[in-house]
Amino acid sequence: MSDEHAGPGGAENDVDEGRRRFLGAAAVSALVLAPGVSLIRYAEGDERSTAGASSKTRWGLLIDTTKCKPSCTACVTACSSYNGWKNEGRPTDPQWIRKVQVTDPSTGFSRSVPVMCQHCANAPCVEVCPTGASFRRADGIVLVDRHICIGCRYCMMACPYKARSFVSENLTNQKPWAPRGKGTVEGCTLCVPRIDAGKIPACVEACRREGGRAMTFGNLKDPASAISRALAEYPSAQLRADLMLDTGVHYQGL
Amino acid sequence: MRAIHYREIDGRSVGFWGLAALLAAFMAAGVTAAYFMAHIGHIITGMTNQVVWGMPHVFAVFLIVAASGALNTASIASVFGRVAYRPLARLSGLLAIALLIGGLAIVVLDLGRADHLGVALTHFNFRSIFAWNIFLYTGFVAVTGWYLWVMMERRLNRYTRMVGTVAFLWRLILTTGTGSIFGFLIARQPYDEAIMAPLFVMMSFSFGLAIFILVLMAAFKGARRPLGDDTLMRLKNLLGVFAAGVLYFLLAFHITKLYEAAFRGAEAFLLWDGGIYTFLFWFGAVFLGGMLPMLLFWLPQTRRSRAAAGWGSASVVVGGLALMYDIIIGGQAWPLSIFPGMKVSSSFYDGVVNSYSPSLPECALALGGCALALFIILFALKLLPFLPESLADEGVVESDMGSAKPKAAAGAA
Amino acid sequence: MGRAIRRIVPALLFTLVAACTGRVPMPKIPAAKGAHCVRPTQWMIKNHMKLLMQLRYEAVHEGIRHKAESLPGCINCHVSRLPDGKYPSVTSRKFFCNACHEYVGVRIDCFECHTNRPQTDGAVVAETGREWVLAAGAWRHRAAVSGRKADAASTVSAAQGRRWRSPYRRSHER
Repeated sequence: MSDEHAGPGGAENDVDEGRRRFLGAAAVSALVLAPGVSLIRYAEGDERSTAGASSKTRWGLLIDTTKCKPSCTACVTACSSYNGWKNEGRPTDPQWIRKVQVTDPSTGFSRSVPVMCQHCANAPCVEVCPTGASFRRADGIVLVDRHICIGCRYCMMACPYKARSFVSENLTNQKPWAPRGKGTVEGCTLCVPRIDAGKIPACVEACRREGGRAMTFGNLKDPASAISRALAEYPSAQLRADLMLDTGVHYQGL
Repeated sequence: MRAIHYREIDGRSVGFWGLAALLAAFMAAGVTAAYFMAHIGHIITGMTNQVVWGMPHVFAVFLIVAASGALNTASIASVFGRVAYRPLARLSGLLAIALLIGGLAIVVLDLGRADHLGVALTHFNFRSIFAWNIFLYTGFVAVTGWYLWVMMERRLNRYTRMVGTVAFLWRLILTTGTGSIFGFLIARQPYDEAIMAPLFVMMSFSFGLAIFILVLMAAFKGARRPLGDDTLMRLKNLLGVFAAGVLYFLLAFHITKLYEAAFRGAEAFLLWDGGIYTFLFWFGAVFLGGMLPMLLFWLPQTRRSRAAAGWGSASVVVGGLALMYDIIIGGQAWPLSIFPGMKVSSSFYDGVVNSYSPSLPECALALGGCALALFIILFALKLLPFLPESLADEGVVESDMGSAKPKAAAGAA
Repeated sequence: MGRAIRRIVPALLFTLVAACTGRVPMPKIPAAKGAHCVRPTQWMIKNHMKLLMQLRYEAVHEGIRHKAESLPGCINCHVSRLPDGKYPSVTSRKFFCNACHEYVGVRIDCFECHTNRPQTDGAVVAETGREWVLAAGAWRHRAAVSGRKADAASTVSAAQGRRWRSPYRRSHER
């Protein structure tokens, strides 16, 4: 009992009485708040949650640009529909993955290259983020924790691949597995909800189904995986390899 | 050594309240712009996924850089012992704090999620220069506040030199940190140079002193106090040196970039192909920011003119803003080089010079921050004795060659 | 002093009584689907934010995702269509979270980014070796129909020992 209400006994009792009535009303209303809910048991069958990221894995992508047709945008469409972003050509529209037409001005040779977040091991975006919202998960995927992102856009200044977009307007109807909101920064997540559930990224699946079968996804740390074998056997390159960022995305045919 | 008396300004004239009202109007516009940016989103600004930092950042970085430079005058007095600058030290400290707060206000209100500011103040990634800057900026306000306290509390005057040295070193580290924001960016060809840190330090000397001179002249005129030629000429000569220093660092920066084939495209864009950026560089940064002030300050016809001192300082400020625009926005306009040497095109504006046009909300926010800084100065002058009663010529001529003795004179800063 | 008390106390009483007598209506919390919640109600009322923060960290930073114990999981059970067929908006009193939050005056930030709509019936979320299907508001699992062959090292074994414990013990950990 605090001393604040010291005074004539009558006033003190009135306040206590009022308090008890209020707490009583609150307790009763709490009990009727959720009808039909049993108080003791909890959901069954929930044991098989996803296992979690581990540093024994490093997810990587291998893109064979010789199989990439300039007119094909299967990866872009798949990413856009899975993650719920739309690019209508405005400079403020997001784009997590895009096809870049690369032409050598001296020879005329041209190639179509899908470019997305490269998931670098030494990611500049991770280094410059003041709050640590831009981070690299144990399995190598570089993500933005939008709960912590303050929207300063320094990571957008720092990324050599222009992988990140800033959400400039209020959004509705986000996909339940891909929350996105105004004022934060976003980019390719390598489809983490799918990867965590044992599937492959949407772009890779679409490329396989409708595109040129140019993309391979897998664990770079497993020498037996398809991607590791392909990287060991055929020449490949990283974009801006001179920056020594150790990207998770590799390209063939550049 | 004549005693210096400091006194608050009256702050009762029509001019005072008129200025206060004008600044309040700009501040209100800035806050309104921030409100709409927070609720509707950055779509109402000109900032895009290509040019992510715009007008607000130009002004914010300018104010922050100028803030650290504004403390120079006090440092010259306390740390380097120039007695002639002593009367100006308090005003210098005030300007430093006010300009920094103005700049910080712009940055914070422009954040995409300013409501996550509590997160920013509790989660730090210390590999990021931004995280360090949070401490450097807030610490600067605290250290300068401490410095002002030991200057203004007579019994603590003997600590002025020590605290002044701390403040001086702090602001050098702060400005180095600000320049490093850009200097550390490997991704963009117009940045990624170690020299950006000392360039920003030199810019801070120049812009800070220019704003100091303008505020000094305006405050003394408004308060009808005598401002002697001697003080003014001393300051403007120093500003001429600093403006020349900025030109020197710009020269070293761009010559290095031009020398390397990889950067020639970016340099050609800035120096002759870039339209508005080229204009702002040569006419703004080089001419208005350097050549014109030097001419005004040192040509025999104008070197004794007070008007020339004022116009020259204003020219430095305008040139400084032009240079900041070039650095921040010009640096983003030039496309990233993801495939060096290749011609690229995509649906995400790869390979093209990015366009940017400032919008009304951005400019309102930027000017609102400037207005906040000036508003703080205006009312601080009225509330506390920052301004000397007189800076008339006698008494500030001698003993500026000797080192300062802490007990030099009663009432000296 | 006595005069002050004689003025303040009736004002306090008035406020308390006004609250109790329904001047501010108690919230009507919309009913949820499903058999029961993932935690007892009293625990949930007190600790749902701590639970959400823990799940959020695990999902975003560690890649540990649960079916029912997740924000979409909560929404799937707690958000239903209104009689007119539409989903309630986040700011309406008919929206589960907002019904209580509006009453207690605590702003909800989640739905700036997270959708407030449940996944529609028939939604499938895959896990290694099995799939969860949402039907009639409840998740049921079936053996996986498709999916890539997992690389040997890519599936970390057996959830690294994560097992269910009594919620009452867990409540102290949060």
